[in-house]
Formats: sequence, structure tokens, C-alpha cells
Amino acid sequence: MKLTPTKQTAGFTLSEMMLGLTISSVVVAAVTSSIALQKSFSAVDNYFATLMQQIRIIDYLNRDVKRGLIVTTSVDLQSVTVNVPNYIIQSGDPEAANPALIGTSRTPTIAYTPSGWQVNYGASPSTVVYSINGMSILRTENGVVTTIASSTDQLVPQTTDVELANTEYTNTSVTFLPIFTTGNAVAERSGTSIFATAYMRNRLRG
Amino acid sequence: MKRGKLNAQAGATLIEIMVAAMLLAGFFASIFELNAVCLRYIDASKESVAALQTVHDRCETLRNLAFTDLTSTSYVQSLLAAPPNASDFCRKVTEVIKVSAYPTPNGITQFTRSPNGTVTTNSTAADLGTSLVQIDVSTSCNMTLGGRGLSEQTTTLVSNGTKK
Repeated sequence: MKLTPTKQTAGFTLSEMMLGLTISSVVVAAVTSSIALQKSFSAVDNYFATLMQQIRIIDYLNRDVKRGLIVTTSVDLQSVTVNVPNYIIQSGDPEAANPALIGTSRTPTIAYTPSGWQVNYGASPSTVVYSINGMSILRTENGVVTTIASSTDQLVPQTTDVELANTEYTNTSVTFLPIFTTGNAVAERSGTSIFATAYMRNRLRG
Repeated sequence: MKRGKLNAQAGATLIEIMVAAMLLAGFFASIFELNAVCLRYIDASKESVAALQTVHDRCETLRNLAFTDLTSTSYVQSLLAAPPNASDFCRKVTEVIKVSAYPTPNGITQFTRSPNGTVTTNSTAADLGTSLVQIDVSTSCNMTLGGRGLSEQTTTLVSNGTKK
């Protein structure tokens, strides 16, 4: 009796195996690449968005520091308090007895003092506080809270207040932690730094 | 024999599979390159922001000097030895600062700060006056992306006087 192998029990040939392996490799690579790319594009988008938030924080803080009378930073440098002259007449101010004046510029009193001309916008300046609350950076002016930046990338502004004999300025750096890190979070955060200097116009040089 | 039925059951040829795989590989290579371009543009954006901030910070430093210091060539030259801020970007830019009397200049005092921090006085104004000066601050460097030139410039006027 002669036994002959039937087609039903035949296995794959080497070329079929190689072809199958190639196709499956390409499919797996395509799926993996799609996921990786999706994550990467998401990280890029997130990085850009947070970069804009950094600029926004710097812009807000610089504006207030430049027009501030006094700047105080907390010990951890993450909270900044600025006293700003009341340039604008607001509800509740003595001048607001005339409702038409609300929202308009206040006319300062100008007097000559032993230290020179003094421009006075009133006895009670506005208090502006910059602080971190969870994932948000808040600006609080006389109790009114404005969220100026919000990100899940752990935005951290740090401000150093430098007071000299005849002037005062702040150095601010804003950093965040990108989604993709190489394991060295400190270096990754440092690489995102944006720096800014702002001098207080009201404490200008003599 | 029905050849049509056989054709319907026939699989793809090796050539067809290879072409399909190459197309797929090309497609993904393009997407990865696109992603890499995005990353490079992020770097370019960071450099642009840093350049803008550098000019701004230098301008802030100068506009808050006492007028007598601002019009002193030696004072400004020693001041420029320090970078505008602590960013790494400041180590690759060349800064040019010009100071002149305003509105009628009588010569221009010009300083150039190299990336290594060396400050050179290119020229000294005959007279900067005692009331108002114009300050031009410009920075330039080659960007990481494509080595293209990047420059930012600003101009401001500073008056003599005390503000308390």
C-alpha cells in the first residue's frame, strides 16, 4: 500500500510563512505607529498650547508689575502680590457718585514734594495677587478672581523681586512639565523656561 | 472548466503585496516626518519667543537706568556684559544697542554684545543731550531650524527726570 500525503494535511511553505510574517509585521507596525503618532501629535499640540499660556502669564504679570507701587513675592516665589494705583474709577469709589464716571480714568493729584513731583491716584491702591491653584494660575484683584492660565502640564511661575536703592524690578520664569519626558523631569521642565524682566515704573530711577 | 470562479478565489500576488507594503511604509514615513517637522517648529517658536523676550528685557534694563548712567558709555558697556536674562538663548544671540539724542541726534553711541558676552563700543555720540534719548535694541542669531536668520528689534524713548 502506498501512502501519499493529502492536501488537507499539508502545511505552509516557507515562502507563504515569510509572506504572512511580512504582512502581519506591516499591519502591527501600522497600528503601533498610528497610536504613537496620535500621542505625539497630541503632545505637540499640548506643548504649543502651554507655550501660549506661558506667554499669557508673563504678559499679565509684567503689565501689573510695571504699573505697580509695591511688589512682594512669597518665600516659594510662586505667589506675587502687587499694589497697583487705582487708575480707573470703580463702583464704590468716592468719584463714583457720578455713575457716568465709572470705568473712566481717574485724574491724579500732582504735588511737589521734597523728593520731587509726586503723582497720586488716591490713598487705597488695588491689590493684585498672582497664585497657583491646582492646575490654574489665578489673578485676584480686590477679591475678583480671573483664571489667566490653566494647563495639566503643571505650569509654575516663579518671580524674584529685586529692590535696589533707586529702582525695583522682578525676574520671572515660567516653566511647565511636558507630556513626553525622557525620565529627567527637572531637565525637561528647565528646557521649557521663559524668562522676563519688568521694572516698576512707579519706582523709577532717581 | 470555469476560469472565472478560480480568479475570484485567487489571492494577491507577491508583487502586489510588496507594492502595498511599500506604499504603507511611505505613508508612515511621511507622517513621521510631519511629526518631526512639528517638533522642529516648536523649537523655532521657542526661539522666537526667547528672542522677543531678550529684546524686551534688555530694553527694560536700559529704560530704568538713571539718565546720567544711560548716557555714560562706560556704564552701559559694563552693564551689557550681563545677559538680558537667564535663558540659554542669550548665549547664541548678538545684540546691538544704539543710543542717540532725540529728536535731533548728534552722533550715535553703538555697542555690540557678542554671544560670548564680549561688549564692543562701535561708536560714541558727540553729544547725547540732557533731556531725551532714543534707544534701539536689536538681537540676531541663526535659528536651529534650517539655520535661518532671526532678528528682533525695538525702539524706545527715555526722558531725563525723576519719578517717585
